[in-house]
Amino acid sequence: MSFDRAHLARLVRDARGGKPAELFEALAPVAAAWARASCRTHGEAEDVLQESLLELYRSIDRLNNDGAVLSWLRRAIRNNAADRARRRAVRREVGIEAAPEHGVECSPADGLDSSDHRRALLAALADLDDGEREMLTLRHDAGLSLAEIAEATGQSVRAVESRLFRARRALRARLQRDPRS
Amino acid sequence: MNCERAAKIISARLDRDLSPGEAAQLDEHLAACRDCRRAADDFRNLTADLESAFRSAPVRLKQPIPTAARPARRAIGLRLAAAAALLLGAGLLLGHTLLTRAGSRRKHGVEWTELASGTRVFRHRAARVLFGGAMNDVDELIQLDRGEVEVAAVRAEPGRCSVRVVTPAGEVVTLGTRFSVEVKNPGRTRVEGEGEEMNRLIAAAAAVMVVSVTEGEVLVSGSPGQTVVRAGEQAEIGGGKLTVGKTDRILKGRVIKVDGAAVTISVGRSSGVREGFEFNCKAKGWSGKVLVVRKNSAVLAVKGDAAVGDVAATGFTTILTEAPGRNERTPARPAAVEGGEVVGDLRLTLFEGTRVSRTVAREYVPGGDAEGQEKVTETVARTLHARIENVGRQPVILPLVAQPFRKNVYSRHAVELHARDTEGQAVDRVKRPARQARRDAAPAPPAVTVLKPGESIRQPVEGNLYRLRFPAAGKFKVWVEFAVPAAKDQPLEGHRAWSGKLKSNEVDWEHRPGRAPSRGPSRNRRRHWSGREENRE
Repeated sequence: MSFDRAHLARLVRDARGGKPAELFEALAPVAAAWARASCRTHGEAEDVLQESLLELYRSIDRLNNDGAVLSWLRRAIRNNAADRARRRAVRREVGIEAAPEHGVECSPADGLDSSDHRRALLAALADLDDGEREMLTLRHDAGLSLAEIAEATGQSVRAVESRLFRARRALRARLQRDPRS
Repeated sequence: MNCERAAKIISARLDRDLSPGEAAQLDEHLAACRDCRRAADDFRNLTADLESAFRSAPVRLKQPIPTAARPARRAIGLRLAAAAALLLGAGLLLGHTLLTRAGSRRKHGVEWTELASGTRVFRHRAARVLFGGAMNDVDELIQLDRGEVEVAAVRAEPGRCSVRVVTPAGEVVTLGTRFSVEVKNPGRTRVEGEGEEMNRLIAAAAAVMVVSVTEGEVLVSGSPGQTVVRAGEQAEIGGGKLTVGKTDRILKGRVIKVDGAAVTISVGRSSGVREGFEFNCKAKGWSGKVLVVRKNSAVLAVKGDAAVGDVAATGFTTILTEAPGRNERTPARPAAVEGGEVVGDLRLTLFEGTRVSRTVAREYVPGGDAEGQEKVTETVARTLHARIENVGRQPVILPLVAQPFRKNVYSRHAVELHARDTEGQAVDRVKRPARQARRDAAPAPPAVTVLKPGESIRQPVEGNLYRLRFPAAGKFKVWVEFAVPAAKDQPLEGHRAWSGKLKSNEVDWEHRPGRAPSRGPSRNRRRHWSGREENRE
C-alpha cells in the first residue's frame, strides 16, 4: 500500500472520472485506524468513519490538492470526532464497550480474565494522547509499515519509530498500574 | 548499550528488521539485563494483545460507500445533476437511509428533503432517517433511528394522516402541522448475539423521544400511552414515562452581527420563524427577549440585546399563524358615463371596483386560549376594468383566443388595450413575459368568442397580463380602446363577425403605485397555508 502523493492523486483523478472503488479501498484501513484513534468508543468510531468517508465521497470534486487527500481525510475524521466529543459533553452515551457482554463465547483456554485484560488494554489505549494512539492504531490496526505511517502522517521514519516506542512504553506503564491486567 | 537504548531497539524490532550490529548488541544486552528481557516480553505480548483486540472489534463501515461508477466531472449544470444522481445513488445503496453530517445545521444550514406528498423533512443532528413512502392510511412513513428531524407536513385527505414518524421509543402521527422529533440514546447498546427483536426491545427501553410542536397538533404514542401535543408544547417518552411540558427548542442559531441595537441571527432555514415572533433567547453569557423584525432567508434581524455566539430560544411567547389572504371584491360600478361607448352592436364601458385583501392571523399564547386570538389585516386596492358587451340582437363573433390558464385574459393578437395619459407622461404597456411569449409562439388552436346578445367580456386595465405601467403616482385621464380585427377564418352561420375599434369613455384615474400584482402564493406556500388552515379548524 503506497501513500505516495502522486499515487493518491491518480486515485483521486480516477475517482473523479468514475472509478472511486480503488481510492476507497486504499483509504479505508487507515481511515478506520484514525477513527479508532480519535474516538472514545467503538460505535462512535464506526459512525465517524462512515461520516468521514461519505464526506470525502461527496467532496471529491472539490478537493484543492489531489495528493493531499490523506491529510484531508485525517482532518475530516478529527473534526467529526471532535464534534462528537463536544456533543458527548452534554449528552451521555453508553458505548458498546461499556455494555455488559452477552453472547460472546470465551474458550476455556482464554481464561476468565481475558475479557478483563482486553478492557484494561482498551482503557489504557484510550488514556494515551492522540498522537500515541494514532501511531499504535496505524501500526497494529491498519497494519501499516513504518514507511507507510510516515507517508500517511507526514513525518520521518525515524520520528515514527521513536513515537511508536514512546506509545508502547506509555501503554505498558498504564497497564502495569491497572489491576485488571 | 544502556537500557533506554535497548528498549528503543526492542520496540523497533517489532516494526522492522534490525541491522546485524543492532541485533548483536541487543542480544548481548538482553542476556545480561533481566528488566529488559521482561520489557521485551511485555512489548511482544502487548503487540499481540493489541492486534487481537483490534481484530476482535474491527472498525467497519456500517453501510458501504458507493463505489459504483460515478459521473465524471463536467460542466456546472451537469455536475449539479450528477450530484443529485449521486445522492440518489447513495440513498439507494444505503437502503434509502440518508445520513446527515454532524453539525451541518450550524455550519451550512439545514439539509432537507421534500417527499412525494409535499411534506418537507429537515434533518438535524446527524439524523438517520428512512423514508418509507405511503402505507395504509399514512401518506409518508418516516423511520427515525437517531438524531432529530423537523417536519413541515401537508394536509392529508380525510381519513388519512400525512406523516407518521416511528422511532425506537414511540411514534408521532400528525394532525396537519409542523413539529420536530429527536431520538436520544439511540441503539448504542446493541448486544451482539441477540436477535433483532431483542435488540429492538433493548433500544426501545434505552431510547428517549422528544417531540416539540411548533404549529398545530400531533398525536404522540409509545409504551406509556398516548397524548395530543399542541403548539408550544413538548412531549418526552422514555423510561416508561410520558411527560408533556413547554417546548424549549424552537429556534437555534448563531448571533453573527451586533451593530448597536440591531442584532442579526443566523438560523436554520427550517426554523419556521417569521416576523413578529418573540423569543426568550439564551446565548453564552447572555439571555434576553428578542423580537424578530425581519427575516431574510435564514437570517433574522431582531430587536433586543445580544452577544455574538450560539443562541437558542428557551421558549416562545407568541406564534402567529397566517391564513391565506382572501380577496373580496365589492360590486364594480361604472367609472364614467353610464352606458359607455357603443359602436355597432358592441358597447365598451370602464368599470371601477374595489378589491379587499384580507389576511387572517391567529395568535397562540402558551397557556392561553386554545383557539387563539384572530387578527385581521385588510388591504384595499382600486381596480379598473373595461367591458365589451353585445347590446345588439344578433350574436357577434370576436376572434378572441381565450387563455386556458387564466380567466378573463385574451390573446393580445385579438384584443389590444391602449391607454394614454393626459399629463404628458407616457404610459407603457408591460411586455409579455418571456414564458408567455413562448407559449403564444406555439400554434394556438383556432378559437373565437361568440358574444350572444346581452353577454359581455371583461379585461382588467391594470394588474393583469397586459397591465399598464404608469410612470409615477398621480392623476391620469384614461381611456381604453379595443382594436378587434375581423374574424376571418371562422364564419359561423347565424353569427356576425365584427371588426373595428372601440374607444371607451374617459375616466379620471388616480394611480397609486403599490406592490407588483401577485401571481398567487407559490406551490409550497399554498401547501403551508393549507396546513395552517387546518390548524385553525
